[in-house]
Amino acid sequence: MRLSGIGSGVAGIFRREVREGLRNRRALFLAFGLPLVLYPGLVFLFTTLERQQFEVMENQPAEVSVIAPANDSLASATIRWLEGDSRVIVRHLTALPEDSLTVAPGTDLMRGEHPDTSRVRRAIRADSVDALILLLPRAQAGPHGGELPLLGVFFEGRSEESFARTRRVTASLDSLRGELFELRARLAGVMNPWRDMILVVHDSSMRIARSGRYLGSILPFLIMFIALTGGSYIALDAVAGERERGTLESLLSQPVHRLAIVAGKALAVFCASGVAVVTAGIGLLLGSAFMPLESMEGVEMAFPETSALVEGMLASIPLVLEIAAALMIVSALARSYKEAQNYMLPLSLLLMVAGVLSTSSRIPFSPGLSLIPLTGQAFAIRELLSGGGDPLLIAASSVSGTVYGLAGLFWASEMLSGEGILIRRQRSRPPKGVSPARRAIVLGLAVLLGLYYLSGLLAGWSPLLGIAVTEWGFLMIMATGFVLVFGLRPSSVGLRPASSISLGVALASAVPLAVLAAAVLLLQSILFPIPASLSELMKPIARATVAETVLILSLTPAVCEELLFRGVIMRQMAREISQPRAVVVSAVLFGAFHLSIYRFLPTLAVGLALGWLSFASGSILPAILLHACYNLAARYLIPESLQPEGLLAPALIASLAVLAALGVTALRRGKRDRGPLVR
Amino acid sequence: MSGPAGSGIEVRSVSRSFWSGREEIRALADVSLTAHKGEVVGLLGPNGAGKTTLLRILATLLRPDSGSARVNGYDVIEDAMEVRRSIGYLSTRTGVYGRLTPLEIMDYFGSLHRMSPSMIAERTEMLFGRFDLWKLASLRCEELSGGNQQRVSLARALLHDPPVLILDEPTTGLDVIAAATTIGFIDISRDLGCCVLFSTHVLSEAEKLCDRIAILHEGEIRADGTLEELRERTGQRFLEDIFLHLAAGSVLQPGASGQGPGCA
Ligand SMILES: Nc1ncnc2c1ncn2[C@@H]1O[C@H](COP(=O)(O)OP(=O)(O)OP(=O)(O)O)[C@@H](O)[C@H]1O
Ligand SMILES: [Mg+2]
Repeated sequence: MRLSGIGSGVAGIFRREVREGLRNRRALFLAFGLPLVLYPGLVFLFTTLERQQFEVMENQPAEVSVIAPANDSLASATIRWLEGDSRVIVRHLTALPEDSLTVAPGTDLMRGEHPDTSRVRRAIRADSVDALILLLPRAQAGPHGGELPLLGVFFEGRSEESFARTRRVTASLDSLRGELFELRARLAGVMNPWRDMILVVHDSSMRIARSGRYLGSILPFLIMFIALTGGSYIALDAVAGERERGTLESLLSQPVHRLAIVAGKALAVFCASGVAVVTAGIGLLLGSAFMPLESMEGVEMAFPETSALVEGMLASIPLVLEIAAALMIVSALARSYKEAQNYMLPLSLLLMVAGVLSTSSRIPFSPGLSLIPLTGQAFAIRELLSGGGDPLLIAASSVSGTVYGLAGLFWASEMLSGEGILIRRQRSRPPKGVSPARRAIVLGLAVLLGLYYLSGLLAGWSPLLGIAVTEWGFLMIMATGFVLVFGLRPSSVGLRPASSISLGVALASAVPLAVLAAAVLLLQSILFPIPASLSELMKPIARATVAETVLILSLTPAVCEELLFRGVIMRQMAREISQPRAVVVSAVLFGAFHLSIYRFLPTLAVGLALGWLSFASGSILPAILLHACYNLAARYLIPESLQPEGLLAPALIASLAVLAALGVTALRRGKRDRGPLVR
Repeated sequence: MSGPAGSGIEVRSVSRSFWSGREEIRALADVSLTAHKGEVVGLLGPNGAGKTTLLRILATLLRPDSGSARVNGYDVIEDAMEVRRSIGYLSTRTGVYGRLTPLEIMDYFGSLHRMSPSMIAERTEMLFGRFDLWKLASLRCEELSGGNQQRVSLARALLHDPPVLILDEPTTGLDVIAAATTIGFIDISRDLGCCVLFSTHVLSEAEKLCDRIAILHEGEIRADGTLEELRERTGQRFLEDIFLHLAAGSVLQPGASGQGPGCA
């Protein structure tokens, strides 16, 4: 009965939003007009430009400057060849006295290194040519000690056009090589078997699928913005507009559940955005009807297959839901319609950042990406439009997108339930002074940000020195600075003696904890494979000596990080929020502090254990001990002993059991020693 | 329509503050007030006295910091939804949906109260007749004058025949005829057993209409009673003088106008 009540409320609210929306010419234009003209306009623009480009690139010969020794037979043969080829025009010819131009020893021209980049560039610009050809008949030592001729083609790859022209130069030189080979074979009386071979290189994908791939890279991006503009009018009107017109108070005093109000309005926004997206799809189809593919020679951007288009449209439902939720939040957040409009710009920026990844066809769709709000859904649309994609990934991104959208709507309805929707400027509750929890969070975020820039700064340093400087020079200073500035007592950051039991627990749980972290890493790597380049990065650390390992990799992080995370941040937060929450929040910061998405989950788990131990024992000393021993264990024990994966499961179970037992011991001892957990 | 036994509106030591930085604005300080069924209570007070805050608490839009309030027998916090069903609420600068016609607005609010279409039609017929809205019924509200919009709002607030009316300055902006209609309607509602609490700056209205008058000043109820009782208490004859005596005592020098307490 209550549910049906909510339902009828939703319907009423929805009907009104739609009715007013339909009577608003600007809203109609954003939902129907703009998407309808957007796509044909875009296609027209692109095809015109691209065809022009195509003609330019296909038909114009490349202009080159040639620098070659004056009287060398190979050089003059090459120049003759180039002059006879219609693909190339030799604009300038600079004859060098023999051996006047040498290549610096050690320069590897094959890998693109060349004697003097800026000189070459200046030469290209001075001659205003597409490429510079450098002919050195005796430049480099060959594999058998003899000298080999060298042919350098230099160009300035500032545009697609310069690439295309340079390709024409290299193609010409390639044919020259083939010709010379042919000649040599004939002179030697050998029949060249390659001469009669037919080489076929053909892209077997359908033209329409190829253009789908091309389109798939930009269409998700466009869909985002079409959805945003299509729903924006109704959305901004929905809360901000009602507040401004003075109808919000009347609405909120009606017997309608807040969730129903938000749901009805969000449904209207969703429909407006959806209509805009579908209209854009129709515009696309109409466009394809009026602009036949055949007439667009050399133009890759055309229209995707209809089935792919329909699938792409369906996959955009979660995306549109997310955008509708974002719009509702903006509308509820703003004090006025005008302010809501001002929020639209940052929101577009956010969409841009989220959507731009999917426009690069070089970034493949991955499990990690599929879970990112907006981005994952944009990728799913891209994959479907190009006629493929892993169904599992697409399903994952659709589900997660729907969840994000619904969560966003729920948040909006929470905002509407509070009286804050009527009182904006003033707080309704007395201020409590600056909250210690907020201060702690700010400290944690400042550390993260500082660390990010510091790691860039220290990039060239040796890793061990970098760690030492970061830990003592940054973390320690931040922690002690915070303690001094806010006048905290040593005991309030956990610097107090610990019971021998808790120290024992710390010692005993180091190895099980390392097993646990390794297991988390292993499980995670099934979902997100760790790139090989990352394990390369860890090599210098793995080569550290025992002394370095103990001092810099184990004790230093243990002392500095524990004081900062468990001593200051966690304990400051616990003055305001419950201890379990403080443990979780500080562990999240601790995980983020390692600045790698691959290490986040394992270090989060370790952070939880350390936080818990620190509260249970009432001191940070056991956590320091555990942290130090854990680092040692992780360094020496785990990589070798867990290699056979079969060993992991038993080790994990045993470790969890040991950890649980130790945990219970510490808890009970802690309780007996000091009453309830220490604050 | 009426809820559990009890009077229409019961306010018990309600306090409410707003915070501006570290400074506390006490909008309501320990306010108690009762309005029975079949009674019209007028809420008077200078600007910023806390009238709107009190009415918003009764309309479940704000929460009291302390104290409790019941409307039609329901607690404004515990049974907010029932309270909303029981009240017709008109906020100070209430607005209308510009792109809807008055008829559509009635349909909309009727549907929010889950009234049947025939029921909506019947009540609309009656209210539009009374507020003389038929000739405007199919115009868009954005095309109506401010006073006519206010009439639509009033009709909308009365649509579901609420047993309790909470009206914040209902006659502001109305012409003499519409104001008189509104007053007349409040009068009729009382006879039908409604409980009406309304704020106003027009003293003559209050004088003419109210069974009881409450004067709010700086968040406190300075006086509460029938006109007769107020006259007795302050020794003034006209409501205007009573109001000035109670609410502006701190501003006007006593005796400066020859009507201070000393002259009683
Ligand atoms: N949303 C709010 N945020 C902060 N302070 C508020 C808010 N609403 C009211 N106040 C403060 O509470 C006090 C009472 O305001 P209220 O609007 O209740 O007065 P009022 O009696 O309705 O005045 P008026 O006759 O001008 O309508 C004022 O001092 C005002 O500044
Ligand atoms: Mg007011």
